[in-house]
Amino acid sequence: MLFAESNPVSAFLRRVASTMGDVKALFQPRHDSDLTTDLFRLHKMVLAVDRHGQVYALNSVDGQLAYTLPAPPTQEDLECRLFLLQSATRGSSVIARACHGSSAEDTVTFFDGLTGTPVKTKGLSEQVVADVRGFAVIPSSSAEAQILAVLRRDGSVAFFPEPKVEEQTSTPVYFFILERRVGVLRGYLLVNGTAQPTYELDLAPQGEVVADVAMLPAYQRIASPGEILADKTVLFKYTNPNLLAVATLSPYVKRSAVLTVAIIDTVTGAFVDRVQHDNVRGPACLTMAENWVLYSFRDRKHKRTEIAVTELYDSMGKVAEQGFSSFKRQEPLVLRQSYAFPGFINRLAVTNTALGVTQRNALVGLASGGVLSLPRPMFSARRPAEKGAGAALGLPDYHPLISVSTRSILNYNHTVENLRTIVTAPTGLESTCIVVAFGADIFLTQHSPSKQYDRLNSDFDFVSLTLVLTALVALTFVLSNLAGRKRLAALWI
Amino acid sequence: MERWQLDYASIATVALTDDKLQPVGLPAGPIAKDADGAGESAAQRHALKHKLAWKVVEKQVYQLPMTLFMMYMMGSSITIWTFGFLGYLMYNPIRSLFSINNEFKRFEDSAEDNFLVHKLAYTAVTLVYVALGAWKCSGMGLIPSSQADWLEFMQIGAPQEIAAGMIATN
Repeated sequence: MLFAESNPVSAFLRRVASTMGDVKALFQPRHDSDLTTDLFRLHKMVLAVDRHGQVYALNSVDGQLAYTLPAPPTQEDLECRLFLLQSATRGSSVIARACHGSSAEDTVTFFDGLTGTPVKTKGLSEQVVADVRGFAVIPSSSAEAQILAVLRRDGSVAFFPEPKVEEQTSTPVYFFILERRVGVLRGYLLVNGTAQPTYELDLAPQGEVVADVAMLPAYQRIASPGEILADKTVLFKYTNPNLLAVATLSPYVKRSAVLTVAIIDTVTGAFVDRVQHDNVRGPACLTMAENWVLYSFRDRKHKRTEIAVTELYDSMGKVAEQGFSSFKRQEPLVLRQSYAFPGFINRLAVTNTALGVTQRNALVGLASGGVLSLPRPMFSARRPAEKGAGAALGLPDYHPLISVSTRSILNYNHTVENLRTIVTAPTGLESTCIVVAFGADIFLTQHSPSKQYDRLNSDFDFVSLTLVLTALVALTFVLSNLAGRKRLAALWI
Repeated sequence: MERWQLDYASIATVALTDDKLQPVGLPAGPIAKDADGAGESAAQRHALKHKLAWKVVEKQVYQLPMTLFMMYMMGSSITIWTFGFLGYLMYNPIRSLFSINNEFKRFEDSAEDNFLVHKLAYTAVTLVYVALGAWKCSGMGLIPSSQADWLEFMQIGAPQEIAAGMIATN
C-alpha cells in the first residue's frame, strides 16, 4: 500500500515492516481466490447500477459478471446511485446503494462490494428513509471507512454507520446539493447532527440548462504545491479542495447559445471564477482536477470544437501551509487559455493516481467512440507565445490547434458506441490508473500517462543480472585470496 | 728555436686594497658583521617581516582579476572543462584557509611576533573567493538556492473545512 509519509524514518520503518510481511507470506500456504487483491491493486471490481436499481459487478481482469444485486421490488424507473463507504483494503468493503423513486421514500442498501452479500454490521442494515433531500459521504476518524450522511428535508441528518462521539472529526463539515434539473445549489453546515442551511444559489436564472458538472474527488492528492517558472520562482496553486464547476448553456437563439462556466466554493457559496463564451453549441463537457478546470464546446462562429482551460493560482504567493480556508478571502490568480480541437467531444474526465505525482492526462470521449488521452502540457494555460520559451517551462510553445495522434486513443479499434461516462480509479502503482468507458459497450484498460516508470519491463533480464553479480562476488573472493598470498610471499623474500 | 719562460715571481700581486684596481662599489675590506644585533636592527627585521607577510596577502588578491575573467568566460554551461575550473575555484580557497598557519609559519621566529592582522586579511580575501565560487555555482544551478529547489519538501496543509455533496439529477 502506498502512502505519502511525511517522515522518512517512519516511511523506512513501514517499508521494512511490509517486506517482513512479504517474507512471512512466502512460507504460508496461499489459497488463490479471485477476490484477493493483488500486489499492485490492479484488480478492481467495477460496479454499475441501472435505472431499476439492479447492481452489476464486473471483474476487471476478465470482464466477467461477478454478481448482481437484485433491484428493489418496484416496477418504476428509479434514480439510483452508489456510494463507496469502505474500500476493500482489509478484504471486505461496504457499498451503499440509494434508490429514489416517485414515492417520498428512499431505500438504502449496504452490501459488500466484493461478494454482493449484505453487510453484517448492525448499523448498516437495509433502511428506508423518508423525505430525503440528498446524500453525502463524509470522512470519519478512521482513514479507510467513511460515513454516509442522509439529509432530510426537515434539516435532520441521519448517519450510516452511526459515528461514536469520539469519532467526530474536528474540522467543520459542510454539505452541498446541486439540483441539476433546476440549477439550484444549496449549501448546509453540519452542526450537532442537523444540517443548517448556509446559502442557496440559482445557477440558471434565465432558464439556462446545466450542461455538465464536475467536482474534485475527496481522495485526490496534490503532489506539488506549485509550478516552477523559468526564473526558478514558484507559482503556487490554489489548493481549495471544495470547488464545484458548473457549465450552463443558455436557451438557443438562432442556434447559438451562451456557455457560462462557473467555479464555486461549496463552503461559502462564493463564485471563485466565472467565464462566458458566446456563439456556442452543445454538447458542453466539463472536468476538473487539482487547481484547473477543462471544458469543451462547439464554436459556431469558427465551426470548430474548442477546449478551454482555467487554472487557479495563489495570487498572494504564499503557500497555504497551515491549510486552505474558504473564509480567508483570497482572490486567485486566474490563467486561461483555449485551443481548437480536431474532433467532436462528448465527455471529459481526468486520470487519477494514488499520490498525484504522475501527470494528469485528460480523457476525452470522442463522438466516434474513442477515449483519447490528452497530455497535460498540451492543454496547459501557461504555454508561452514566444518561440522557444516553452523549453524552460517544460511545455510546448503555444499553438492554437491541439495536435492529436490517433495512437493516444486508448481503445484503439474497440470503439465504444454511444459513449456516456468515463470513470477512472487509482491503483497501487503510482504510474498507472484504471480507465473505464461506459456506453453501449464497456471498455476497461490500465493507463500510464507518464509511461510505467515504477515497474520493470517484462523482458527484464533477472538471470543475467544474477549471474553477473554472483560471478563478481566469487571473483572478489578469489582475487583477494590470491593477493593475500602474493603479499605473504613478498614478505618472505 | 728560442726557449723562453714566464717569470711568475716577477709579477707583483696586486693588493685588493689598491684603489686604482678596484671595481666601483667594491668594499675595501671584508664585510664587517654588525656586532650588536639588538635595537634598531630588530625593528628593521620586524618591519621587513611584516612587509613580506603583506606580500603573501597581496598574492592572494592579485589572483582575483584572473579568476573573475575565467568565471566570465566559463558562462553558465556545465562542460568537462568548466567543471574542472569550477572544482579548482571551490577547492583552492578552502585549501588555503586550512593551510593559513603554514603560510605564515616562516615569518614567526620568536613568540612575540603577531601576524593576526595579516591572517585575518588573508582569511577575508579567501572568503571572497569562496563567495565567488558559491555565487557561480548558484548561477549554474548546482546549489539549491531558489524557492523552486525546495518545492518538493513543502507540504500542503490539510484543509480547514470539508465539503461533501451530491449532484441530484432531478
